[in-house]
Parts: sequence; C-alpha cells; structure tokens
Amino acid sequence: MIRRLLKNVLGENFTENNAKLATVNFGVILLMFVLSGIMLLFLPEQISILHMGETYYPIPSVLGVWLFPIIALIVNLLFIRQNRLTKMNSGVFVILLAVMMFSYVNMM
Amino acid sequence: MKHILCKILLHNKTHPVVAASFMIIGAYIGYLIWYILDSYLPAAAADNGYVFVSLISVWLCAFWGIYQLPDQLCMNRRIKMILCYPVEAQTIVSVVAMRIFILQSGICAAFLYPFFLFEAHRRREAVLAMLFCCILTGVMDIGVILFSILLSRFCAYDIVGYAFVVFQYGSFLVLAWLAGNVVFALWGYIAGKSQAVPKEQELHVALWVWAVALLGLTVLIMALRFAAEHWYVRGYLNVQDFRHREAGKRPTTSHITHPYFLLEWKRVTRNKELIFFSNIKNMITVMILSRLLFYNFSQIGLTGTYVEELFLLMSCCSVNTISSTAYSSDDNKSCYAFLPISGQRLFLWKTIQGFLWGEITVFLFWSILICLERLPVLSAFLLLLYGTSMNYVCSWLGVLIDLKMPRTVNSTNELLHGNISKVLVLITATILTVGEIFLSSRKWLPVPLLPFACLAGAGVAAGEICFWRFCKGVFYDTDS
Repeated sequence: MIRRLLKNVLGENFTENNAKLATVNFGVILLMFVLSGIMLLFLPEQISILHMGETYYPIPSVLGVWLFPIIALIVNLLFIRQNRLTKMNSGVFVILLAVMMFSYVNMM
Repeated sequence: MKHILCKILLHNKTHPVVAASFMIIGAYIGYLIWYILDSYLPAAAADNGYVFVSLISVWLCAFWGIYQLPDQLCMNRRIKMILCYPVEAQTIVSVVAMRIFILQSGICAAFLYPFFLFEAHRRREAVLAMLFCCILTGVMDIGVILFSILLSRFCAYDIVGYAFVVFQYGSFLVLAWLAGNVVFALWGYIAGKSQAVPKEQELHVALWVWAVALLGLTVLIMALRFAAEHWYVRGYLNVQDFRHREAGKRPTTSHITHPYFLLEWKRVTRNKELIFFSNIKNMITVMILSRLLFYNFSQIGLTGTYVEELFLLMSCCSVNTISSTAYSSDDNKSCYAFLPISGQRLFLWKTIQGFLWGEITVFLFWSILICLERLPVLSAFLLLLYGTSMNYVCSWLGVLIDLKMPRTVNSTNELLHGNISKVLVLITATILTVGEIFLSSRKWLPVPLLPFACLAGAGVAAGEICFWRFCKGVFYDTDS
C-alpha cells in the first residue's frame, strides 16, 4: 500500500537522473536570484543570517540576500553529481523559494 | 596533444552552466568568509585573517589532492589504453596533475581574492599569500603523487590495493581529525610569530620561508621526474594487476553456514567508499544535527537533564545508511525471487547488520560523552541502553521503509549517500524523542527522562520484534 501510494505521488522514476529536472531546478534557482535582487530594494540595511540563542549575527543585505540562492545552487550541483534529480527534489527547491520569500517578508 | 590526452584520461566535460555555478559559489563563499572574519574577529586577529583563510584553502586543496591524485594516476583504467601509444609517462603524470592543480588554484583564488578588496593597501601581501598557497598546494600534490608511485611500484601486487586504501583514507581521516586543532594552532602560531618579529627582520624571515618553499618545490619536481620516468608505468601495471587478479581466480568450494549474514556482509563491504566516507559523513551529520535539534527544541521550552545527550544518541541512530538502503542498494535482490530465501529471515539479518554497524557509531559517541562529561555510572549505562535500543528501533524502521519504498534497479550510490528512507527514519526518531522529552518536562510521568526514554526505546524495539515474529507476510519483497 505504501509503495503504491508513493509511486502514485512520486512516479516510477524515483531515483532517475533527468536533464529536464536539472533545467527546472536551475530555472527555480535563477528565479531565486532575481527575486532576491528585487527584494534587496525593500529589505533593511542589515539582515541576520544566523542566531545562537539570543545572539544574532547580522550582515549587510547586499551580501546576505544571496545566501538562499547560493545554498540552493550548491544543493542542486550535489544532486546532479549524485544522479539524484527527482520531482520531489525539484519540489524542495520550490519550497525553499517559498521559505526564502517568507523570511524576506518577515524581515521587511 | 595534451588536450586530447586530458579528454581521454579524465573523460569529464564540465557544462558551462555548472562551471559558472562553481565560480559564483566560490566567489560568494570567499567573500562571505572574509566579511565574517573582518566583522566578528577582534582587530588584532582580523589583521592576520589572511593566514587563517590561506590555511583553510590549502587544507581543502589537500583533501582534493589526496582524493583525486591516486585515483586518477594509479587506478584510472583509461591510462592502460594509451600506454600502447608513444606517450611518455611524464606527460601522463603532468596532464593529470595539472588538471587537478588548476582546480586547486581556483579554490585558493576563490578564498584569497577578497584580500584585495578588504585590505586594498596590502596588495603585495595578497599576491604573495595567493602564490604561497599555490606553491604549498603544488608541494603537497607532488608529495602525494610521489608517495602513490612508490606505493604502486614497491608494494606486492596482492597487497597494493589495500596499501592505497590505507594511504588515501588514512590521510583523509587524519586531515579531518586534525583540521580544527591544527588550523587554529598554526594560525595562532603564525600570527604570534609575525607580531613578535621586528619589522627589520620581517623581510629576512620572509626570504627564508620563500627560499625553503621554492627549494622544496624544485627538489620534489626533480624527484617526481625521476620517479615518473623509472617507476610510474610498472607501478601502474602493478596496481592494475591487483584489480584484475580476482577475475582469473577460481573460486574454492566452501560451506556457507550463515547465508543471510554473508549476503548482507557482502552488500556492505563490496564498496570500500561506504565504510570510510559514509561513516565520516555520518559523524559530521550527527554533530551538526544534534546541535541543531537541541538548540531549536530548547528554544521552544523542551529542556531538562540529559536532553542534549539524548538528541546526540538519537541522531547517531537515525542516520544509519546501511539499514535505510538495505533493499535499494542490494544488487542481489533480483535473484531473491527465484531462490529459496525467506523474506522474513532476510529482513532480520538486514536489520542486524544495520544495527551492528550503527552500534559502532553509537558506542563511539557514547565513549566521547562519558569521557568529556564524566557522567555517573548509572546514567552512563542508561544512555548506552537508550542508544542501543534506539539503534535497533531505527535500523528496523529503516529496513522496513526501504522495503516498502518504490525503487529502481540502478541506485548505485544510495549506500553511500542515503535516501528518502533515512529522512523518514530521522523524522520518526525525532518525534519519538521529542515526545519523550515533552512528557517528562511537563511532569506527566512519575519517572525521570532518562529511564523513561530507555523504557520507551526498549518497548518500541520489543514491539518491532513481535511484529516481525507474527506478521510474516509483510516482509516479502514483492518488487524484486
């Protein structure tokens, strides 16, 4: 039952490398870069990229705003290197895009 | 000709998009590190930040060199194809070494280019630091190549493969183990020395350092030329002999007492990368994951005695790649359908194998815990009991999820990297542990957290054993 359900959701090619998915991922990452560039106009001068308890580590928005797209780019290259491009992983990039936008809206 | 040789030997063509991505990532990470050093370090330490960055870049290059150079020079089967052509051994070595050195220079450049931006008045030092990193990387590369040639030439053909395994992974482990201490200690030492040396002597010291580095490089290059000319080809063929020896060997008749254990043992030990890389990866994941879980859950009020230790041991148990890829990484699974193999017993041995490998990690982290924290004997014993019971719970669950997951035949790297089953086990184990901590922190239970967690872990493990015993039909792999 679990297998049938997962096959329906994720498809048969669960671990298959797929050039189309790589293009989709690069497209999502490019969109992340573009949106980050646009959001740079609305964000405060400094944003926090890390916090440990009550201690925050702010950096200039011009630098910090590219962190999400760069992380997505590294993850995508790792997926390509390991032949692990799947629909689910492309979905993760879309979720990362949504999380990025949510965090930017919160910072505004 | 070198270009064609490079194409034949390395056989990889980097797409421009991927190359551009690497450049963007390198440029960003290099700049971010410099910004963090410049902003968050004390002024005196930030002045010597370039020493720290140089050491980090050389350390990364050393990792890459140790990983790639022996593989590409001594184990690359494509070299055998070109040995029948009039190509000199020195040309082969130089082509491979240069290709890897170019990438390492790129790493050094990515880490040190912000020196020009942050310290615009110290351009001379920036150029020298970059050059020095490249020379040091070159020296290390030549050292690795020389050692590989010596190993391949002077080790007997039946042990040369094992010698390379020890050399590569031993160096890899030593580098990883010493990374923090050595990099920081060297940084402190160099920074201290540079402040202690008067300005007039600075030039004198710098000249000596450069002279030694250049002399070392020259001597090593000469030694490499000699080794490549006289020993490389014979050494390479010696290594290839080790690789192909098994093919001609006639298997001896043997009586297999534990076929299920043997099947699982072969699955795990077939891939040498698994044992080293997977375990190193697991250890790093455990350290990062346990801290991440502890910080996040303590922020929402889940605190108490031994919470950090429980998260640490839970992380050890839940990142068990051997159990979570039990079926998807098994090349023999296509044979199981027509062989008289009990699916139930196979499941049990897959669980036991995963449990035993996972127990090594659990025991290692438990030993570190009791050495660092000097826990009472009873607590130490209960923590080990918790780790062991959770290890069985996670192994069982990992094997079951992997049995029930959709999979394809070609999943060669899952044993090394893990798959979605691993994530599902991690989520389940986290929910279980957080539930235990939540119940204990709200004082809804009459027993302290640690004994309760042990009881819960042992209870779940007992439930899993009962399920395995009485629900035979669930464990047959209908997808093989």
